[in-house]
Amino acid sequence: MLRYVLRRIGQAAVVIFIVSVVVFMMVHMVPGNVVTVLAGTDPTPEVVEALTKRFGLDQPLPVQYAKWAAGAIQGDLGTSPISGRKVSELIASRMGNTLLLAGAAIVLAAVFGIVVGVVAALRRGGWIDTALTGLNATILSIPNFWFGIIMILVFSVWLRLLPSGGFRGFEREGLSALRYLVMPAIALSMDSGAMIARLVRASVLDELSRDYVTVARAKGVRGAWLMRKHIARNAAIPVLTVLGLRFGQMLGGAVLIESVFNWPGLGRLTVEAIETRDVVVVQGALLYFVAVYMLINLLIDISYGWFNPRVRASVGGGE
Amino acid sequence: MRETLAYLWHHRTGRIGVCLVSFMVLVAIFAPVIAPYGPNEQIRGAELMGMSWEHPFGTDFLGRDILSRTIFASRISLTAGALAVVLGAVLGIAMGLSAGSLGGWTETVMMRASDSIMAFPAILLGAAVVAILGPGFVQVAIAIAIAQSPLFARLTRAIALSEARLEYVEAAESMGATKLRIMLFHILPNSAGPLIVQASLSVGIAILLESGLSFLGLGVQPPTPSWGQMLADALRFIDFIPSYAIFPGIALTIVLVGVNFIADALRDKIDPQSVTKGGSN
Repeated sequence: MLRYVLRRIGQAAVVIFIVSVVVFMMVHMVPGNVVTVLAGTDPTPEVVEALTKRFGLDQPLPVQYAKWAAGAIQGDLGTSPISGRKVSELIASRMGNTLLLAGAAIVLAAVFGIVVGVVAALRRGGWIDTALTGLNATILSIPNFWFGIIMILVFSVWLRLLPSGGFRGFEREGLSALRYLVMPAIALSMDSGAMIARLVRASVLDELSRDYVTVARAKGVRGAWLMRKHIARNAAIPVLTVLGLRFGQMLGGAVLIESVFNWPGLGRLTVEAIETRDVVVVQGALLYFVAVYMLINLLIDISYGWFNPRVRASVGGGE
Repeated sequence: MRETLAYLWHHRTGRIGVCLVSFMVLVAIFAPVIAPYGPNEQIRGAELMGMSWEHPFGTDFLGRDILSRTIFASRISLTAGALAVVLGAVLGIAMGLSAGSLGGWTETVMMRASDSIMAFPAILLGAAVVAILGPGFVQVAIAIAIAQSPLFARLTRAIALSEARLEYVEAAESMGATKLRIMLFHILPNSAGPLIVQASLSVGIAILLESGLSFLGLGVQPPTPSWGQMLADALRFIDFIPSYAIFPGIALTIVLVGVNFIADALRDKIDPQSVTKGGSN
């Protein structure tokens, strides 16, 4: 087990190293750097030189990378030359909002997916199953940012029930701040919910056909008990995996929903930084997303290895 | 090809998918004939009008007919999606084949590279690539292709590894065929099925990514219409012309439903997952 864990951590470290180099190089390929942004339209050579020195851009790239990476390991991702704030502070200030949105969306997705999936599986082949499966297929094809816009249209513009966007936090507005969360959370949860529903339906059907279910039934175990005690436990593993992965993606991938609802999260921060060519923030945010995503993946893989010795063996020997 | 079409036609949702996609392809091809106005034609004094007989979907803030723009935008969506998948598939298959055939450090580099690409949120990776290359049609397609390539790379490698154990490969080897030759002329043709399914799944994702990037202002630039860009405008003017948000989104959804139905139908026939599962170790 220890060998397996170390191996997975090693692989993740390699990927993060590659990503950090790529992110660093990528951002240096963006036309126009900090200097051209700050120096204004018609700078004197002295100003350009001074700024170049100040941001260490006159040093060779490997040296710049080493400095940046050394800082990143210690949690210092540099300071934004445009807003003058530390990148780690910027990320921290937005992280709570992103976690809140992603957390709410994952809970909604899990509830929707499990209820719909179990009902569809138990009514397999019936019209309820057909209707729910059709609904799922449709939800999976609706772009969630468009669905968000349509919700704004219906609930903000026409019915005037919910605010169309923004979020100022619980400190300022108390519980009524939750009204800002409703629509973005629903929009963000949609495709995950439909995906979970599909998966739950398939795993429940799969488990229902197993011998142990027949045995339990023969012994007189009744429906609800069977579902809770036997099937749910076995069907839960793939569902938890997908929930974990989707959560990891939401932490960085909610860009569109955050844009539609003007939600002050990490995705929005990154897009704004790309728009203003705030290279330092883009670097830091991308690296942060990848690190979080890798961490969640790692945890999922390790828990797999923990539960299933075959996984350990195959990864240890194969790749 | 004919066999696949026949199969899709007899599949319940596959047929719906074929109909929806064909419909949109026809709309894109005959856009100048169908659209009542030019995509960039500004009708003076008709800015931000609601639905009417002259403008069934209304007009935007520059007095352009939304129906006509929705029709013309189908061209961008479909071609960007197709181009991105072709580029992504070529890149990914090349990565996967070289990893599967050469093994050793080539394999390690290729696989860690695709892990690294997959670690980025696709839309942000796309946005960053567009920031480097500059916005535009081809740049967006390249950005999406890069984001898609790992899926093809992994699948191709898995197939290559599992096929390499089969007798026909051994036979070809014994007759002195080079590794490259075996990869390109023996293994690749035999793995077309799962790759086609992956490609059909990728088209939907690519079209969605294109619309997302356009929505963020990183896609094709105005005045060329694209659905994502129109939805961004619609959100800006949602208090003035509510109907604007509806139609580009419906058009986009029709394409996505069609493509996904086709992909699902193909997946019922050949499951690329099953290949991956059987192939990796």
